[in-house]
Amino acid sequence: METIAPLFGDLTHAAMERRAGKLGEDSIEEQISAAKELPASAARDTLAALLRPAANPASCCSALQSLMASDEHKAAEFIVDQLCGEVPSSAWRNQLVLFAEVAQTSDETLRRRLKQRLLEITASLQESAEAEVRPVVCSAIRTYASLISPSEVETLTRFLDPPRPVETRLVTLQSIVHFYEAHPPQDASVPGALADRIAELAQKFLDRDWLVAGEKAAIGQSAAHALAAMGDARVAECVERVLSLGMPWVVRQLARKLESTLRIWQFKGVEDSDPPAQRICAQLRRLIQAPAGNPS
Amino acid sequence: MPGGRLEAEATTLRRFSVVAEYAEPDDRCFVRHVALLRDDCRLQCGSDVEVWHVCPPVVAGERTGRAAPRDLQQCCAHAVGFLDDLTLDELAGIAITLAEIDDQTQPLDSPLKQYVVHPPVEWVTDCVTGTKRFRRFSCVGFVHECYDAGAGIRLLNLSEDMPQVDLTTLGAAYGEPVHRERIREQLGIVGKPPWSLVLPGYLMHSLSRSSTEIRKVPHVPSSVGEAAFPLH
Repeated sequence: METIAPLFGDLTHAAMERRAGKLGEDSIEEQISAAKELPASAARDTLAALLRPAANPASCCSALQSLMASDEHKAAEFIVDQLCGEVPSSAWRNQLVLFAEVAQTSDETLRRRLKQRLLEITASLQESAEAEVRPVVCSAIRTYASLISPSEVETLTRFLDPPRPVETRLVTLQSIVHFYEAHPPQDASVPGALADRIAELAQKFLDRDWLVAGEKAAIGQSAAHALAAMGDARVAECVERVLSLGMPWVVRQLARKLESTLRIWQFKGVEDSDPPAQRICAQLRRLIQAPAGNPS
Repeated sequence: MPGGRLEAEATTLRRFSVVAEYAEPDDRCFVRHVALLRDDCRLQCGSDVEVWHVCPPVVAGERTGRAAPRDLQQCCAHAVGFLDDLTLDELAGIAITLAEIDDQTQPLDSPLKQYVVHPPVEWVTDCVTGTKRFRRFSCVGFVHECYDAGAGIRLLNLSEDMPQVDLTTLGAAYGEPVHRERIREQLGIVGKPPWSLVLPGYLMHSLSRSSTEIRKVPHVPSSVGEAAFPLH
């Protein structure tokens, strides 16, 4: 696989300048100021020229950034067309996936095409042995989860499988939490298979025998948080398990996450009397009232 | 008082101590950047050290670290702040938060996709569904989030109005480009100066209080003079 490392050239330049006392003056100016003054058609022409077979990938990225700054819809259209077509290299495909997360479009047709393609790309990249693909896979999952509707959320279940070899469980659990924070759950809308898998992960990863700070503990906590955000009654078992660990940091962090979800729901007009909010409130009380560090 | 300006003689520090980099290594002590010390180490003033931070890019763990060149995983340490009684429990919490940020970071090679000045932590959401995608941070926002979400220690009261920052001070912290309105807008700084913004030095003043006070009361900077640490 081609490496994406050379494509970070502009950022390196910008960050180095910042360390020297500037926030990447030249490169930021190139990316934003010049782009905003450039007619959209000119940016597209530049991009088309750069996408010739011999084009430099870093230049393509720079041109696409210019297009995003001058005409976001056209940029989104371009990204989707590129991703859905025959992509000339894996490095360019990876960059397009990253760009897709930054791009915004309300065009339903583009959104539908994009989410379908992201699902396919993620499923395929999950099996890549290249360490460099993980940020790309994570980005694809985040973007995909932000585009889907409640009827499609079950499609995330496959990304909760054990690594193949790319680890996708943490980012998927976080995406599920974000999904349900934006779409407060109704009992009928929560897919059973997805909830069952999350409950299984919570049980396994909140195990005192091998729970250590880092990614695995984050998976356990995020699984408990996801169950709460889905309005699943099994969050009570997760809280029981968390309390029995006797680890105050796990208790504190889960409480903070539940509080955050409740705040978001309240902002969206969810009543405290709604069952999912009630469940979170009840578990939050247990976490807050637990003597710090003492097993329940 | 824990922390202060580092000396020529090396000091032993614990991981997740907050290191500050000055805009210029002079007596003004204007803090331009803050970061979390990656490992226990011995540090002297002006030494480069490996950190978790938002340079940009975000460097918060294995994934984001792999994407960043080695020299961007470091900062130059001029001053340091820490809680001398940070518990193993709190250290573990910060490690979890770093792991979460590591997976939530958008790795595109544009500093402005990962970086924001105001607010210091910002979620980027989908324009139709409102579902969160990724977070942007300032260097202060990153360190603040690690202590707040990770250890339950709120170093600054971000809901309070911060001291007003003029363009000269903003330029000292973020460089010449912020003199351009379009760049400021990209960083979340809108309208005419002065602005109520969080500066890196404020975090160091929060950490220069007693541990009891740090844990009890988030710091509210009294003036923009706290952009320098230590004060003269």
